[in-house]
Amino acid sequence: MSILSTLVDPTSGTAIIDGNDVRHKKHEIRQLLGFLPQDFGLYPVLTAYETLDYMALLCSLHDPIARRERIEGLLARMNLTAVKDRPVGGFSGGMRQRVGLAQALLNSPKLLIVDEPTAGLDPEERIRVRSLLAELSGERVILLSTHLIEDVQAVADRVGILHKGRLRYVGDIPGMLATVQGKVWEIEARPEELNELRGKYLETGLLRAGNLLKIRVAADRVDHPKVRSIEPNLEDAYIWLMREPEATAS
Amino acid sequence: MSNQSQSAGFTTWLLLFKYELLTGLRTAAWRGIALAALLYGLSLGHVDGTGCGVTALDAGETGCRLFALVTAVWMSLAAVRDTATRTRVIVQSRPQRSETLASLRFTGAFVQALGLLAALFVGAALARIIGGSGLLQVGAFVPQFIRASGVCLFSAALSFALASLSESPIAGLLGGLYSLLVLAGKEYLARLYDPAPVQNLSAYVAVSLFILMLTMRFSAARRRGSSPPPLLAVPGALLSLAAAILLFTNIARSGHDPHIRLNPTLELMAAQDTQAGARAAGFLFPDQHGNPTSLADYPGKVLVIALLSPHDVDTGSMLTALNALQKKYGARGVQVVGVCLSEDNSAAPALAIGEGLVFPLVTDWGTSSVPEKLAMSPLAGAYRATALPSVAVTDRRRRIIDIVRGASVTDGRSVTDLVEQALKAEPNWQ
Repeated sequence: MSILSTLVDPTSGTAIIDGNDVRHKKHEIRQLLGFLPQDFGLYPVLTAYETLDYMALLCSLHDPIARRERIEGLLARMNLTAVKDRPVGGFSGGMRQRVGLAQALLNSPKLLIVDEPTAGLDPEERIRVRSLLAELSGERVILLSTHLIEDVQAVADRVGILHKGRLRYVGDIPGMLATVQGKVWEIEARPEELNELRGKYLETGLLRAGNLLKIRVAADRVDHPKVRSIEPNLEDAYIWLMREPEATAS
Repeated sequence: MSNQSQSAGFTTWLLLFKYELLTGLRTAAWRGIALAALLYGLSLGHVDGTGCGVTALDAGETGCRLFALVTAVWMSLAAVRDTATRTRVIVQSRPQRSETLASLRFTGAFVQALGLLAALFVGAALARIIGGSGLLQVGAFVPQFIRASGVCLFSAALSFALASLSESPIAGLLGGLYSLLVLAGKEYLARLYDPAPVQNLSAYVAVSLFILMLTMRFSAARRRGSSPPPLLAVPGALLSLAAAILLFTNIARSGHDPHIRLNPTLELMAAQDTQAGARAAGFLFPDQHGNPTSLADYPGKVLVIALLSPHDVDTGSMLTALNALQKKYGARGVQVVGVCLSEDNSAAPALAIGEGLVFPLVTDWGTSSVPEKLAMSPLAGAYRATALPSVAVTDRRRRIIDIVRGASVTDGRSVTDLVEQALKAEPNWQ
């Protein structure tokens, strides 16, 4: 994310964004980029409007009328108009995140990079931010980094899975589900069987059903008297792909 | 670049500057320090008499020393603000020149620091106005504010550069430490190393600009591949460095400082020896208006030659007494000539304007802070001024009648007695 957002130079290799090499064309990339980092702050004494105006000026949006219209539009879109004159220092985490998203969109970026945008938010704010991202995704390329599968389901057309710097999967969501199709099982077992089953199979979920456990596993084959094949979801696919030693590309 | 886009760029810079200012001015820290500065200024102005000169000098000294340190701390924190507030990523990923970002941050924070300095001066001036000073006398604060601003600029540039390049406010505090070293180490540091004397200020402004240009250049390098490259930094650094070398060389060549250079003219002054009955030692120094002044300008007059330090607690009351003496006896051929022993050339004008002096107050530019009183200036040595103030009264042929030293000068009575004695012996003046 830092390399793509031109903040860190690659130690090897490169990345090309809209024909611009991140090693040599940083200024050009910054002009077409919107970036919402995972860990970011805002100047607490500035209001939401002032914060966006400051950021818009940093983007060299010189025309005052166009700048004001852009900011007002984004404030309305982020549902922040009512609080635009309040210092952001008093904002909740979700409101700050929406200001962060607005600042990333000021220059109408071709590429919007958002890093863990819903981390640490309460469910209501998480849904709101996720909906905004889904809405924005029709207008531009969004590169979203997240550990939350719900975020991916809501927003992503294409998914890449990185593990320890290695790309485990690149493709669309149906393709990702296809990697684990026919390999997801639900085992109805007694609690004392749990450790043994965990040793044999890759667990992707666990539910209690009375005195029994419903253990969800991903495996090519399962040898158990009370097992049935079930439809995979993205969490199953994610855990399966993270386990696989080789990358699966489509 | 077209004129229109240049104009738009400048307008954008001004708007960004406004936000840089607001980020500091709205903080409780800035408001608290400003209030403390205002109260401290009010306390500085709480002195006897109705003049402003002594208070203006005190405010100037406080600005050059204490506020240079405050400025260093403030600028160090401002330099690393984006790290502390975690705004660095969203600011640095913007398509904005690195030198623009650095110049904005510096200018915004420095103007905030100047605001704190202004609060000190406003407090001091208010106190003097309440004490009865006239608006003309309050004018003495202006050059002292400019002088202190120059020193703070140097402190700001040094601390901002160190803090922003090392990304640590502690490194920036070295800028403040420098000020403290100068303050504590006046006995062994040459005057050239001190930015506070007004005659050194232009050189230190050039050094400050040089440091800032380097900071802008290296902040672009640290941001990795910022393009387009900086416009001002390299030529600006070269120009300011050349100016600084030129100005420092000029100060070293034309000044008088035992650590650097002895001036032949001042050595001639030192070779004189003044005691009762002998001819008063001559000198040629600039007065408060910058006009060269010597004792030869007052032939046939009874001279009252007062050697004083602007930092003595009784300076204000002594100047008031000497002013009254000049007004009372001037028409009878008495001339008071003050000699201000200060390392700072702005002290005499500040005292003269602030105290409303009607006699010339010259600056002894040979003054240097050394432990031995006799060596503090060649002229003071010639007058055997083992204590300040020292006031020599002459007859009409410039022969010393007596020299009054130390605290007994302050009330002016002993000096008046000597003047009366001289006038009685030679009442006629042509």
